[in-house]
Amino acid sequence: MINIILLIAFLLINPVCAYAYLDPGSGAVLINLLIAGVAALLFSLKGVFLRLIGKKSKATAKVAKQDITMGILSEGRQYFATFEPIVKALITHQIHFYYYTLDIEDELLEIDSEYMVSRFLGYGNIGYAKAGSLKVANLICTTPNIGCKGYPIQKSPHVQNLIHVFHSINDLSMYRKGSLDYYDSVFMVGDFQAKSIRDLELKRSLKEKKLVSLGLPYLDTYSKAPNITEAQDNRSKTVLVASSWGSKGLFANYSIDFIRKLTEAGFRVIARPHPQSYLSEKKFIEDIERQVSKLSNAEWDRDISPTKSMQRADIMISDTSSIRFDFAFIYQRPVLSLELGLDDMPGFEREDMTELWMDKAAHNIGIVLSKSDTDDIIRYVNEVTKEYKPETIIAYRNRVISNYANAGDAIARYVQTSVIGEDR
Amino acid sequence: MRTILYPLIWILQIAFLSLTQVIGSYGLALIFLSLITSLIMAWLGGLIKRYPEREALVQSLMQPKLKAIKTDSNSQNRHQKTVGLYKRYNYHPILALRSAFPLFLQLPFLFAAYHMLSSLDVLQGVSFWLIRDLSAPDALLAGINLLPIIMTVVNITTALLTTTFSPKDKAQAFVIAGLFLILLYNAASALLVYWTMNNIIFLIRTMLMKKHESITFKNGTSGINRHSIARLISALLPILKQYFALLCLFYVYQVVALPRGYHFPSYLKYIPFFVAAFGFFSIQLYDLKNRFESTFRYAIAGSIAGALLLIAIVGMSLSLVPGLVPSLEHPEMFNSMAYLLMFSAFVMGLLMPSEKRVEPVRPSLRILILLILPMIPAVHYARVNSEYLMGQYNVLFYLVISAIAALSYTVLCSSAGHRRSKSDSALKAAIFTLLLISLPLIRFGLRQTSKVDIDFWLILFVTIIPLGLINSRIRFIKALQVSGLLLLVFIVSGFFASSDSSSGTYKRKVLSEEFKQIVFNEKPNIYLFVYDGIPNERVFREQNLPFAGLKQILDDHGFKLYEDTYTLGEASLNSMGRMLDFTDRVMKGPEGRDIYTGNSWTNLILRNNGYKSRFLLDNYYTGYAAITHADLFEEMYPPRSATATKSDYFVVLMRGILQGEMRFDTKGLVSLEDADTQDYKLQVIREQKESTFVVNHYHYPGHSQNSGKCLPNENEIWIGKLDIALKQMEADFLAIRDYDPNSIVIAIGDHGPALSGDCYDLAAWKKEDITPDLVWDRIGTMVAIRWPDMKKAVKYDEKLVTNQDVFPIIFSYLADNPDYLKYCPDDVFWGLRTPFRTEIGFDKGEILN
Repeated sequence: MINIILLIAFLLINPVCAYAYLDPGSGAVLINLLIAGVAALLFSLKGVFLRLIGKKSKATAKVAKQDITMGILSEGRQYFATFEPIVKALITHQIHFYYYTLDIEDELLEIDSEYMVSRFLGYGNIGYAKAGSLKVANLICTTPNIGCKGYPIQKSPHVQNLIHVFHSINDLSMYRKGSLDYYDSVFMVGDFQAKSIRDLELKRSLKEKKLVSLGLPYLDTYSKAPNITEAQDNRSKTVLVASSWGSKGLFANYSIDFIRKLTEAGFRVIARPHPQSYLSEKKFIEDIERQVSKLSNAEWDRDISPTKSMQRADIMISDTSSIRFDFAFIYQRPVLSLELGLDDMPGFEREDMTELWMDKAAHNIGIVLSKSDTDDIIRYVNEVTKEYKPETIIAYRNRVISNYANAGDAIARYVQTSVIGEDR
Repeated sequence: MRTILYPLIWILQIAFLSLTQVIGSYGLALIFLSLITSLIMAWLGGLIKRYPEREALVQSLMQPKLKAIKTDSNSQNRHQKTVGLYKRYNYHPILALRSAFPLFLQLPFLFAAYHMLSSLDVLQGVSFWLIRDLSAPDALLAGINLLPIIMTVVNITTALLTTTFSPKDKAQAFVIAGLFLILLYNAASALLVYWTMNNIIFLIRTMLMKKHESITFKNGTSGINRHSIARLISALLPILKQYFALLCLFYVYQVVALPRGYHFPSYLKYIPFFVAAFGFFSIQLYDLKNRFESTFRYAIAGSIAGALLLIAIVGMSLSLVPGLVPSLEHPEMFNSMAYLLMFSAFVMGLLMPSEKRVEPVRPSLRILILLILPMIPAVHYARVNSEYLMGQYNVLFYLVISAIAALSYTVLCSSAGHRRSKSDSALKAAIFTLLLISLPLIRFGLRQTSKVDIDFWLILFVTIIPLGLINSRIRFIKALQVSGLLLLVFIVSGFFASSDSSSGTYKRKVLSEEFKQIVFNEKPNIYLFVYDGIPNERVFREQNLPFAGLKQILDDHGFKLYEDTYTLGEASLNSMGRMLDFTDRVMKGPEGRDIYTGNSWTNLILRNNGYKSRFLLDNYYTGYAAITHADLFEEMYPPRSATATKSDYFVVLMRGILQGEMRFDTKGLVSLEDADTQDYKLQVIREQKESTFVVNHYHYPGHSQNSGKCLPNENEIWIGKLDIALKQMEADFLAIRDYDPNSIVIAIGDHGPALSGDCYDLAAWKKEDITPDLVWDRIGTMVAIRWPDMKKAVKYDEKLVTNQDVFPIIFSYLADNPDYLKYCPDDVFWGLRTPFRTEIGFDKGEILN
């Protein structure tokens, strides 16, 4: 580059013709344009040249020969734990697939494998538009409401089988209306989800989806995390207060009084909001954080991953968040669920549902408290921590969750035999 | 560009003038305008900042994989993998332009400000604080423009402080800063004030952002990372040592060219020399301390360094105490200390053993870069100054330049390069030599003299420091390839380009029998005084120039002013060449020189009649002919001598380079000023010698600045120069009146001032758009003659229309014979030819079709 500058400088300086009239500032633009333009041109020409001489690398040649009919679409790194087990299992089973992401910092983009063709689709509306025109027959996605009117991602006309995989343990009640209306298949967490899906299909006269219980992939990752606890002797119990975001969150529905009571009673409290709160209700959650930070024996957890907090906690207090089930099923510890009185949740699927799995399931992993019960929170916490039985929770887990800690492999095998196998 | 930016130019102008009305100061209004546009740019920058951030992010994500791809030896595989990686990240190399978006954002404001401030007449002559004229370069530092330097320093500092910049980005920023320095160096102060303020505001923003950045250490504490600063200094020190070592060499080359002794007389030289030597010594000492081992060599090196430092400190202290050592003067002290420090640093370097380093390139490539890179300006010089480089001097010229490169390389390797590879030293030595040899080109381009060296300091810094930050085999080979290509281009272009300065040896004229028949009845002294660019009365009128002062002088001293006279050549050399050969034939500059330096019919005819020729002409008008034509004149002033070139070629070459022109006859570092020649002219007049033909070409008033674009105050500048010319004219004529009243005095202009049109050769003008007044402005010349016998002159001067008629008329006057009037050429001017336009014909005010 310095030589290019020297060249320009020498061509401009000439004692015989000293009357050079230069437009100042154009030199810097020249540098950038020259470098970027020449670099781009050379790069493109090199590709053309190589194509002309008809040589391709073994890797691209091999992939080109495959008719890739399987794809995964991820919104971003927040779903890393959901897709990583599936991606790794597909590679292990030597299944060629596309991996599309809307997040350039998605860690799964860094995986190099001859079976995986990764693509970052782009930022904002460009990425959404490309997601809505993907050319692959079968597409696994965890995003609800694809194809719904007004939703940024539309169902691609080239996708014949849009497959939903869950990223939380729940029925459809906490999804917005129309969540799975445009999906063709659902990889369920467990059979318990089938009823709600069928009820909605009936109600809306939708085509029946193909339902298969294959499990919850992210449990594959979290279940491998060390199940440690802090030393039992002479230590106070640790309570993890995990809230959903928005109107569904316990922070929005309860004050932090019960947290204050817990700290005053000698409990260590870890308060953890949903990561989405920092985007959707930043000011509110920062205010809650300030209040909690003033309490002794209380700490605030900002980590995207709840793993560390869950490892340390003896009991969880939560709302309708599916993190309750993560905590219970992975760590076999009890959960206090706080009622939110969310019967009226316009715009959510629960409006059209007759019964909610969550409501019943909460009783199998701990107890459910109403607002008035929080006055006596200390008693309930003490009772539950004494009385919980890990075996009960494990048994319940095994009834509810298919292929616990092995969902990724199950999905890959299913894809191999039933999805791609059917295409062939 | 101006059309596209017109709305922005208009807005800026309104804003600037409004601010001026409110604030009452143009300078402060510029600063406020700069603040406002900075805020707007900051806001716009906020809108687009995500694009360079995205570019930086994707580069950081791809970097580890790209690095791994580069290890693949197969280029096809590399390309395929790179393509695959780019596809994965939805990337194309053209997106690299995103990182330049903030720069692209600034450019419209810069261009608009440039056009706005260039066309604003109100700024002419307006001063602000230390700046005398906002419409002109500032020239604040002994003729050096300080504002561009401040702007460059600010830009470099900003680049250093920007934490997101990689070394490659920093190097690029340095180069851009250097380019802005070159391009804006001679810009109006107003633009520099505005733009430098913009840069200062940006620097302050960068500093504030940096202050809020913190690095979290492993233990959770945060703070500024001092380790990174230390690492940066540690990386820069070896490069700085080489930089100072090269600067010491730069001063050594200069001191060799001094006429007497080896001490610089001027503080503008000995202070920087001292600073360079001190820098070299200090860093060498620091290295010695860090690498200290208890060996004999280190002990010697340390002792020498310590002793010399002590001597330097004591000596400096003594010299600064008034009255203590009255005989010591600062120049000698500084010079001596500089030598002491420089040599001790050199010795320390020799004593410190070199580290074994892996050489990126083999020795043959190192030698090639040392030879090729400095040859680029050398070949360029040789082409435009070929009349100087005749015979063995041609070879010697190239040999000397190669020797300079080799010497610089040796110094770097042995004393300053032990932490760098030999290849690195070779590249730096080659670039140093290239810059040294190019210095006349650079200084001519920047309108600089050799008195102050800050330009070289800056250019060397901007070149050497980025090279030091990025040093690789690939870069070395690329430098070699590009410089080889440049050299080839210059060599090939020398074969095909028609050069105005091609030597041409012209055949010596021999008087024909006819010319030998021209015999004079009387032989008064003849003075030919050329006042460059002084036009006839018509041009004064048409260009609104003040004629009264000139008329008064001519009338007072009995000159006959001829009306509507012009010349048949539009430039000095071809005009004077045609005049002295009384011809209208086509003639280029080199032939003009040949004629002007005595190989002319006029000179030969006069000498045939017993005249002695005394030429008071500087180098531009004579070239090397001043030496080769020595038999055609009795005196040439300033004196030239060819002996210097034979015995001390290197010294003369250095002098020539450092003075900014390839003069192989120089005897001093600073050439004689024009004032000395003018004083000598008066002395010649006072000598009252007989039958002498004296020729002098005075630079004033001159012509436009020849840029192809008129300055807003072009006329005013020329009028200022006319005043200088009139003063000299008065002095000349007074001397003639007092000492040589019976002489013939010819006072002429060699061409017109060119103050109209494009103030140059109307290159972009169509033939049909060129009007007579434009041509008059270029070739209309003053012709005024003081005849000893006016009645006799009238018999012959009736038809004096052009400069080229003068000498045939004078011959007729001196011989009292009208026959010689036949030697007057036709009055038709043919010239102003360009690649896109045929010649313009002009005959007594009419354009010919």
